[in-house]
This record gives sequence, C-alpha cells and structure tokens, in this order.
Amino acid sequence: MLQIAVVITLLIVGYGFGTYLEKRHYESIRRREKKLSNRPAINMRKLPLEGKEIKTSSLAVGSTVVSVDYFKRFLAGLRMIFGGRMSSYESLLDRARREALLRMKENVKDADLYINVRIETSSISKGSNEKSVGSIEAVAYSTAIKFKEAS
Amino acid sequence: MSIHKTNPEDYNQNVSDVNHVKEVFLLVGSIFFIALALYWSSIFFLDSIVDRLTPEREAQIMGMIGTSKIFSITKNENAKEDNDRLIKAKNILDDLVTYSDLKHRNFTIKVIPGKDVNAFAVPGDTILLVEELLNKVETENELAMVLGHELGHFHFRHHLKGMGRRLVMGFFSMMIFGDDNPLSNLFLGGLDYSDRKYNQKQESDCDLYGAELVFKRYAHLGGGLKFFERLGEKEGFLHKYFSTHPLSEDRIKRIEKYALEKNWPLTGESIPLGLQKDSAEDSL
Repeated sequence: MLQIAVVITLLIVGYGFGTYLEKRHYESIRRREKKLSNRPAINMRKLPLEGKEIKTSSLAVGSTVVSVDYFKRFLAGLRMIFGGRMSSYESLLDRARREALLRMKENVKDADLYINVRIETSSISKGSNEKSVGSIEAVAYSTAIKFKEAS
Repeated sequence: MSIHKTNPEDYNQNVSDVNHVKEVFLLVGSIFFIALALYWSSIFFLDSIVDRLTPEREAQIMGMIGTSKIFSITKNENAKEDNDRLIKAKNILDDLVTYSDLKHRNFTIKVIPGKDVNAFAVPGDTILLVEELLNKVETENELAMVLGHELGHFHFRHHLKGMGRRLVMGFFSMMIFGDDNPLSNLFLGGLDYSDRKYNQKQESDCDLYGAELVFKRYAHLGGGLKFFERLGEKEGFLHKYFSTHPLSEDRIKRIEKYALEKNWPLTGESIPLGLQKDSAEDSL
C-alpha cells in the first residue's frame, strides 16, 4: 500500500509541476517565436533570394535538453505496452525542437536569414535501463546570413 | 523568389490535444483487467496442480526449495522452544493431528516474540505462534481451535498455494514491467488487494477444518469459539490479526452454522490451559 501511495504521490507531483513548467515554457517559446518571426529559418542549401548581396555568413547553433515529468513517463510506460500514439512525449520533442531553433536564431542575433537549417535530436544517457529515457537533446544549426544594406 | 514569413500560432499540429489523465486511467484500467484475468487463470491452474500433489511430492518440493531461506522468521533466535506453554501446545497439536488426515506428518511449533495475536502455518510443517497469542488464550479448547485452524492451512496446502501466487505475481510483474519499475509496485499492490477476498475464503475453510478436528477431539465445540468472541470485542487492538481474515463475528457465525448442520454440540466443558498437559496425557 505504501508503494502505491508513493507512486500516486509522485504522479500527482509530476503532473502538477510538469503541466505548470510546460505551460510556462510554451508561453516563452511563443513569445520569442513571435519576436524572431521576421528572421526566417529555412532548410534550403542555397540562398533562394536573387539580387541580394551577402555581407556576412556564419554558423548558428542552438541546443537544448528537455526532460519529461514522472507522470508523462508513467503514461509513456503504459503506451509501450499497448502501442499507439505516444502523446505524452510529443510535447517534449516539440518543445525541444522549437527551443533549439530559437536558441539558434538567438546565437546570431543580427542575421536576416538562416539557411540550410538542420535539427537533430538524441536521447540523453541512452542505456539498457528504461529510466534513462525521458530526456532528449535537440540541436539546431544553420548558416546565418546578413545581407548588405540596399544602397 | 520570395520568402513568406509565417507568424506562430497557438495551434500546434505536432502535439496531440488529448487528456493525459483520462488516458492514464484508461490504460491502467486495461492493464489491471488483463493482468487480473491472467493472474486468476494462472492461480486456478496452479491451485489445481497443488491439489493433485501427493504428500511425498510435496515433501520433495519443500526439500528442494529449502524453507528456511524463504521464511527467515523460523530462524528467530528468540524462539522459546523449551517453554512450558510450548510443550502444552505441542501436546494439543499432536492430539489434533491424530484425528486429521495429516497423521504421517511431523509438525513443529515455535513461539516467536511479538505483540500481535497471530499464528502462521509455514512450509516445513511448522506452526509459528506469536507469544501474545499464548498470553491471550485461556483454555485448551481455544488453543485447539487456533491450532486446528493452522492445520487446515496444511490440509488445504495454502502455504504452497501462497508461494505459487507470489511466484506468479513476480513473474507477471517482471515480464510486463521489468525489474525496478514504479508500475510494478502498483501492479503488485493491486494484486495483493485482490487477494484479500481469496485469503478470507481460505481462512474460513481452515476455521471449518479446525472446528471439525476440535469436535473429533473433544466431542463438542464448547469454549473453542470464545477466543474468537474476545477477538471480536477487541477488534481495534487485534485488527492486524484479521487483516486478511474475515470478521470474527462472521467466522463464529459460519462455524456455528456448520456445526448445526453437522449436529456438533456448541456447548461443553472447557479445559483450563493450566491443566492442559495432564489432561492431554490422560486422553492419550
């Protein structure tokens, strides 16, 4: 009975804190995405704009590590038995990707355009113990371009 | 070519709009339903095997397992094996065994220290009596009822069935969740809870078996049920004893009903425990 009580307590705590932190993170992501929306990031390898001269180009990198709460990991554990859409991890990956992209943009702040954007994800401490799953790292990198001012 | 800048929206197509709490309840419910069905069918299968075991095979299995490794309580160094009360209890037990189908077995009684009024039938033909139980029983008939009840566990092979249940539980838990998983704790806790009804039925069966032995030995059940009556009055104090047992009131009713069906007298002379040793010898 004590074991059940401990698990239920952890689930409640995990759900409460996890939901609050995720909500706060999404608010931050949306606010910053809006702020940086005038600096597009695209995955084309060559500059798609004609008639523009490049002033500088540099590598822009952004990475983040995000973890899920106990409740979501518990739910993912259940999903691993039955299969189906692992909805509890969707927001984890979504947050990580978007946060990495934002950090990439923030890495080179005065760029006009980010080309050849790549996003990679990897799980942290990937091992045989399934407890290690639940934290992921997302890395976004691109070439940041600054155009010459039109004369 | 021009680049269309898109403003981020609140809508997120990459994250499903599902109620996670509802999903957890649905999945946990499904797991419990499936696990319970598997568990009970395995238990039914195991119990039917245990019921068919010959006494020789049972002894062989117990020898293979090595009971002392499982029940470390039997190794308790404080066990007072030379206690007078223990000798008296042993005499009563031996008497009862002669009226049972367990005559070929050599039972041992051990007294273990403790404040709970409790007794255990453990593998290795051993009955453990908690010291407090011996302090509470007043007559030979009362102690006989308790010992008869414990012999019932050996008759119905509850100790083997109990071990089988735990093995099945551990196996399912390992197979489904792996080792050291919080889900495993929930699963085992749930099964333990579901076992309660099953345990209560086992206890009731043992009560009737014990009552039959007491009747065969003393020709009546007089005094034997008084111990249960006293336990019922102090339910709070003795709650632990009944954690997996039916309510004492229900136990008494069931024994009385059974006794009436069998025409066993419910009244008769009780033998004080202090004189038990002599009277037992007389009876032999």
